[in-house]
Amino acid sequence: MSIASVDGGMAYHARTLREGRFAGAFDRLIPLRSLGEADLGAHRALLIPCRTHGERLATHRDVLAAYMRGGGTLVVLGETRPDLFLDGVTLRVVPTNYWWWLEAEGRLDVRVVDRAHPLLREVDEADLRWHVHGTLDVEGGRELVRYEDREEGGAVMVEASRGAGRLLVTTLDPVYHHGSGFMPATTRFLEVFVPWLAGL
Amino acid sequence: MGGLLFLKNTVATPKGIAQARAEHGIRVLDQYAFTPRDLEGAAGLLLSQHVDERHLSEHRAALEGFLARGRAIAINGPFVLPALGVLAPYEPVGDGSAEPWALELASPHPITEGVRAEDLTFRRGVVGFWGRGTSKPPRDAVVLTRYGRSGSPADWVWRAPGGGRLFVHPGNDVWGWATRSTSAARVFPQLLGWMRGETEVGA
Repeated sequence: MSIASVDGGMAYHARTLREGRFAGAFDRLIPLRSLGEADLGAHRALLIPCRTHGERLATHRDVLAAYMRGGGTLVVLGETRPDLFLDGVTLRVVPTNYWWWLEAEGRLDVRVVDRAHPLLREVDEADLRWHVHGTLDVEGGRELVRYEDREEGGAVMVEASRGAGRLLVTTLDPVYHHGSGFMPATTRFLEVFVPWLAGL
Repeated sequence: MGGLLFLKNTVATPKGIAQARAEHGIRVLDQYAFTPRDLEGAAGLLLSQHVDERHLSEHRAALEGFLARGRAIAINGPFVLPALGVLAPYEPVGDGSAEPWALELASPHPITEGVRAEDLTFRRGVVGFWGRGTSKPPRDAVVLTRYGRSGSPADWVWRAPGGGRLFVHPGNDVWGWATRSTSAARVFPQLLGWMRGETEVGA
């Protein structure tokens, strides 16, 4: 058993999955175009990194659902449109504030809800705060991380059981930013996230 | 000459592309549906920071041939796998702090006409959206913008043997500025005009 990731072929996927400090964490990279032929059952966890094309993933909806039912852990990162390829997931797009730290009393109030979760025991909340692109409503889901906001607040990371396996889905997009050389908080988050994923 | 071709590898068509589509004759094509035949009759090709580079690299010969036939290619993004042989590897500039990413204008050019360097450097006060790295241009390229502190080129253009035009922008997609209210919004329409051969200065 091992850890696999879908590889969408974008520069930020390559720079995160194939190069640098996180490259060794993945036993197998599956090009998105080959996902239909991949034996996913060989992998304990499958990562779908930021901005993987949601409509293309939707053509593999049944494969991904079967993977989780069979005991796999599917981990889905932000800007992938999970509502298009996962059952029971609703995405609400939030107007992105790219400048919050420049505003008077500006803050992006992203908070850990479940500190007991193995991914979140060690994470610094400051390393969850760059952009919020959306909030999630997941059938049977447990909220792990939340965006607190009077109008736009909601869950930004949710975990749910799916048959013998599970789903962890977030709207946070660390691979895009780390792999684009932008936003150091995303690299610090990946320094916690990738070892957690590799240890599943 | 024909219109421009944009290879889409995202669910939504970027707003800047969608808005320029009719006026500039941009054909939006799903990247995985692309075949070299789609280049026939096109004046230029727009490549996004979101392309599947591995897929694109399978068509490198077709892209090189397109340039050699005098057509135009615009490349965006801090690429890992260069789409063309002429491209040097992308290298980050600076240490992640804002100052090394401050831009200045270099050679005057129709693409950057009327554009203020500050509007490229700052996007609502945030530095780095425009560019955070460099791909060293060929000796006979024309540098349009550079990082002030290091002098490293950011945007540049190059005239290929055969007359093809190449624009390289190693940052976020330039059409992302097309709907803004600053002079940075001028770059994308001016780039499209240059790609279609409507302006004839420099490279």
